[in-house]
Amino acid sequence: MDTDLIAASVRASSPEIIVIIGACAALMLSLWPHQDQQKYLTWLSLITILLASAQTLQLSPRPVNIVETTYSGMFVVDAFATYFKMLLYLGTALTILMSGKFLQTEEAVKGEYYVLLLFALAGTMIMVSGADLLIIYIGLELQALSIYVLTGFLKTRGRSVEAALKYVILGAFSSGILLYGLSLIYGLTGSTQLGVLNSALATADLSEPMLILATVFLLVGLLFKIGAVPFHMWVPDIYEGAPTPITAYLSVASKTAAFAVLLRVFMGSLIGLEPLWSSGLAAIAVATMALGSLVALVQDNIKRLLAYSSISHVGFLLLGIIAGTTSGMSAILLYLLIYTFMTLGLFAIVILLHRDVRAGEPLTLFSGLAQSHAGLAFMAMIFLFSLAGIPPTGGFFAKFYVLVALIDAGHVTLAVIAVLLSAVAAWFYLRLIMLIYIQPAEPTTGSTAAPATGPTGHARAAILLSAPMRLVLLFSFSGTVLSGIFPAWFLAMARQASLSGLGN
Amino acid sequence: MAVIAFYLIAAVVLVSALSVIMARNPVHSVLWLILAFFSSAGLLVLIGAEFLAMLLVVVYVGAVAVLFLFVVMMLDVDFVELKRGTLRYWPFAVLVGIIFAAEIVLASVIGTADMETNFDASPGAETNAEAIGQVMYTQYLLLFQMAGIILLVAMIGAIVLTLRHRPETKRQNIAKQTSRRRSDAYELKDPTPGQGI
Repeated sequence: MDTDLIAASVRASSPEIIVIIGACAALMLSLWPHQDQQKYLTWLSLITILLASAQTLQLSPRPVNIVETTYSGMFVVDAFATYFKMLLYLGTALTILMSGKFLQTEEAVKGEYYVLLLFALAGTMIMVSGADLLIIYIGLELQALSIYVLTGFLKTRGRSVEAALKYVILGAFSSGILLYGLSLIYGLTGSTQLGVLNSALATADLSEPMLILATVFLLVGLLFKIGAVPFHMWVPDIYEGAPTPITAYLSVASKTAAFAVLLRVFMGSLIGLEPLWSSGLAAIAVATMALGSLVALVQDNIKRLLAYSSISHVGFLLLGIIAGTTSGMSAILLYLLIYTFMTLGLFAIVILLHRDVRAGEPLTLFSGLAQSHAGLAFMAMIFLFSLAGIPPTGGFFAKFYVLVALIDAGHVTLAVIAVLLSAVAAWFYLRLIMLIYIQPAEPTTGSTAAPATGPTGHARAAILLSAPMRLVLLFSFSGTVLSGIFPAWFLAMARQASLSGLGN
Repeated sequence: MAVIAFYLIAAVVLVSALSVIMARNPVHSVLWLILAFFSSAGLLVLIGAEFLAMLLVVVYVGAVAVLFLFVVMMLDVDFVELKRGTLRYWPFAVLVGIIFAAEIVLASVIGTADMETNFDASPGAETNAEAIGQVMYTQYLLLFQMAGIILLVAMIGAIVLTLRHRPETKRQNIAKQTSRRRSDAYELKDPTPGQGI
């Protein structure tokens, strides 16, 4: 590898470099005591993300099926990676915007929060651009390590620290399983590069037990990261304990990046082994949807409910992989985009209604919202309709295209099961809407909740509705609505990204 | 000869790794861990990766494990109390362990897979260190840099999670003391008689 190649590689990875430099600059800035420090840090992070996205778009290959690999085949710039990076920028930027006021209410304003979010972004970017199992693993760890710390960021709150500890242990465990599968794959093929794996495994003997073991370990490791049943048990606890903006980040950006890896590895390199994993994955997808939807019915904490809701969405997304076609993949890509909008929007509302970590986030936070804040209530209703998959919203088309891909691929039974289970899932979203519109506002009963003279939860929401929050709501609301009105435009974008052939 | 040495050292690794989690005394656990690292270094020497073996001894035995030892000895944690709860989970853990082991043994016994057996620890170079040096900053540049960033994040994370500013401690602020002006301390008032301030 000579200097020209290195220069080309550095150029290809310039968005990542921008983000890392931005993170280091934010780290320096966080040492400078100033009363407007948080504002500057927010601006710096947003500008970094904006620069990186401009650079990503500039590097994006035209025509789309061109694939540029650099760093001796470890790093790939294709339309698939570009699409996912834009999605990650969106998720991270909205998370940063909704964090400001939350940190202030929790008295946890510290510059490192933004630094770690930017490093997590860099890790996820490496994951989606990785064309080598090793670099994917490194990106995964960079992302995970930053998120572990962010989960425990409210270090005076027991729940946050407990969630962080659980996440570290289970994350390390799943990384171990992933690495074990990785090393077996390396032992069998002599390479970790996805392109080489693809050709080496094309002629492999599928009854070979070692190969089955390797595939299973790899799949289990990745399913752990996206929180599919039966590897989902960490999801509710960690979603509940983490600071709410980080919960939003976890359910959107982390999951998006892990899905990118799952798609690139399983629909790209290990597609030759499809008979080995497709039936198992189908069972897992159904179990994930079923458990996510059914257990969500009995939750009384809004963050736990959203955790189970995200589990059931993961099940739906896995169906797109089972379809195994390009249209299945573009359906997943579209789904992830719409999912980002609607989930972040709903989490922003949860943050607005948030009183205090100690009080938790009971479902009753939502009750009577329509009376006190009609606008917020309407937005919440649209997000919930979208999550449930009810027609005029984006969420419907997200599910619709997955189902179309599934039926086209001949999995009609699975499609029927998916529709039935999403009807179950719709029930608990509708229950929330009922709380918002029908239930009268509950007087603050909990002893730890706001003191009698202090503002009640909904009055606080008005105080918290700051300009960044309005921006988040505007973005996610218009995204959810527009993708429902013009789904074809969004689908065309996703289809273009999935045509790049996954860099193999 | 090499095969016998391999099985001998591998057995020591397994036994010492098991002892790490079985040992009653946490100090013994750490000592077993050091033995496990040492024997793994032996395995690396067997495949000709002497530089990696040296790194393992220097970094893991020399720094990490000794640090563990200090931490374990300094911390006053009642490990017997901590371990009491784990007894309940033993049957499940053993079951899972047996299933895992059976899968792997089965796979390697039935398997006909041709693992890459002719492993060369120093391709295209005289020594292992030279071979690593040739690829580390070229072929594996990205991996190397990202690993460095992970270490940076680990450092930031450790500081974020442990640094506490304690408002109740009273510290002397010399700069504040010396920069104190008379006007900060006194206030001159001129009250008219019979009125007060």
